[in-house]
Amino acid sequence: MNDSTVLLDVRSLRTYLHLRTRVLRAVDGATFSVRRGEALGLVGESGSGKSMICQSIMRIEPRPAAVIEGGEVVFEGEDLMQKDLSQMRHIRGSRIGMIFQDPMNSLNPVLTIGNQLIESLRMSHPRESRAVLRERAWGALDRVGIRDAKNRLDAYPFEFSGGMRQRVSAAIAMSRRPKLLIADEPTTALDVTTQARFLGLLDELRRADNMSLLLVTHDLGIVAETCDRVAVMYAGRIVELASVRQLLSSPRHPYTQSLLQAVPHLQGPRMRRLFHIPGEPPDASSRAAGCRFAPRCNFASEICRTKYPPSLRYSNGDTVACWLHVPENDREDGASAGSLPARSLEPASDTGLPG
Amino acid sequence: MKRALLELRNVSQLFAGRHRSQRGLTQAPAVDRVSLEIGAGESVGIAGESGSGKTTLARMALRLLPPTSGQILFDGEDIANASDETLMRYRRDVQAVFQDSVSALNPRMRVRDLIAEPLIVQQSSVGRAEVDFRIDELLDRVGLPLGMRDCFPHELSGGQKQRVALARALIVRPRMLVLDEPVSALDVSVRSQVLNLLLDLQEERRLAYLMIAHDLAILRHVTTRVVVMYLGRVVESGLTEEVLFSPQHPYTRALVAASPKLAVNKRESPPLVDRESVDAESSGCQFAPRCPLAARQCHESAPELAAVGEATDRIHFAACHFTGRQGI
Repeated sequence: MNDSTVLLDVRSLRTYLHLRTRVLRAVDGATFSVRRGEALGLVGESGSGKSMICQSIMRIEPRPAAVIEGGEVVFEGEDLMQKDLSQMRHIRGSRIGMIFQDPMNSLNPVLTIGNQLIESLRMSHPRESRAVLRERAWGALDRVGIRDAKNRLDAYPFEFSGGMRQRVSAAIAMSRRPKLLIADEPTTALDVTTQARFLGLLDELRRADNMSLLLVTHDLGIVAETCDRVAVMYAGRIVELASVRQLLSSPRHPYTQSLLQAVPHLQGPRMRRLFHIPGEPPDASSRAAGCRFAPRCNFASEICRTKYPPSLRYSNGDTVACWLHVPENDREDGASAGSLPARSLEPASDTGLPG
Repeated sequence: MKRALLELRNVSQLFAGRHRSQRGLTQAPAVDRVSLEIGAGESVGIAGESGSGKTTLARMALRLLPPTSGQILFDGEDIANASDETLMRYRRDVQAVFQDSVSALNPRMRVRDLIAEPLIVQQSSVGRAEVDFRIDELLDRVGLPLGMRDCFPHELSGGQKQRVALARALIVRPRMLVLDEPVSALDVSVRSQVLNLLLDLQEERRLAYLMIAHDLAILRHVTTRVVVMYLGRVVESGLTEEVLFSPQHPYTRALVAASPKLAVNKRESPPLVDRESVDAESSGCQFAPRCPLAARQCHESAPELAAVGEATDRIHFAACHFTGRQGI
């Protein structure tokens, strides 16, 4: 893969939460990249570390509990982990935008949305006149499909419905034309019809600006409809990364396979019983060796319980972290957790897994 | 047709305005003349967006909220205006499981007491041994380790809490459960466990379910019939498979189209326009302002629920002037 196509490259990122009695390994060696212009879905269950990854990229992790212990986040050739916070302030908003799940919490309730838009634009244009910025704020609001945008500039967040509020936060996040938009569960609080319209809008704006999107969600259906590729997280790591088509038709990791079977479908034959993933999601404070999914995995063998599987890289950029994909005779070579170099494999047409 | 276990007849709920300025104004009812029947052992789903009146309807079915008008019959007995005694019995027969098990479970009670509480309230004569026996039986049945008896809710995961809520509902041996978004707070892997458990329990105990869910795929999985609500009214009802696979009302069609599907093909139809504010004065179809099919008659008169298709299967109903007219 050509390096120039990569916009954001996250390598072995580790963010731990230091609580009074224990340390939670929220992000525990996550590696993935976002290409220019693509929409990458980041899916995982609650506690898998997806939000913490986003916060770490933006360096807004909840300090002091959260500490970035290691790893690199290379954005347009620069390692964000080496930046100090004042340098980060110039990257946030202007080059990487972000929207959150609950716009009621991310918008300031006592400022009109016009002022909030102007506040954001002001960061990029410190010397511009207020009238000009107001004009731009109007344009930004109009662009996200808010009717009568000029008058709505003077409205407060509470005067908008949930879907419209999320549009306002998208307008703010995109007003400075960032290269990357991180959206953390942007539609979880919305009804399906509103969600569909918001995701459609996001898609349209992203294509128009050739912006990349990192869409965090727990809903594989949303990913299927909006993303080009998808990264699946489990216990702080990316266990699989593939194109949406590949992932839906032949998932490589047993966790992804189970997830897809555990979801009730709106199409196809109705199953009387859903596939059942035994057990509970893992405890993030555990320092157990081996694959974190092994206790719930139907294919787990001895090595899965003792060594964390290396992340295998396919030539098209797909990755999978599972011993089932490591040929039997390669498992010996000192494949200690994570230390095996990423290997180049041909993309597999099917998983080759039993079942 | 045999008698329904629970029958709602034209129930409505009108909430009074909270502010003085709103009092006396005409308001759109939260639930408007809804009729619904649930047979013993049957599972019926309610679908609709937020504000459609799903939860209000469930609260009326639970008789947590007396309906402003209309009748509620359980086993043929009037519940809407029942005596305390009848209501007590009703509360045993009909139990509820809510979405947010954190607020449903008292944080200062242990799992065993939480599960036992409804039984002790209902039948104070039950001996301690019987209570203990039933607790253990239920813990086992909902898939919780017996060692969890003495835990507090904060020590449990979301899925475990929802299992406790379920055990608590089942201890009085109800005939019906009202499930208000019972799995929407749960992660996918845990959700499938709880859904399977709900299906198994229903089969074993011949429970009737009234299930509210915004996720149509979940309704499809659990329920045999479904009612689609929009702004307090039923716009379509019928067998779940039929309603979801050949939706007759444009609103149902939009809901189905907007639901995320695990397939790569992109959305087929343009999503709905925004909801306008509710016009209580309007005599037309409530959905008309958002409806892609709306014609003049839709703004003038509200369509009644009418049977779809042939007389042989008079179970699929829709409230749309265009029902049954093909090619639109």
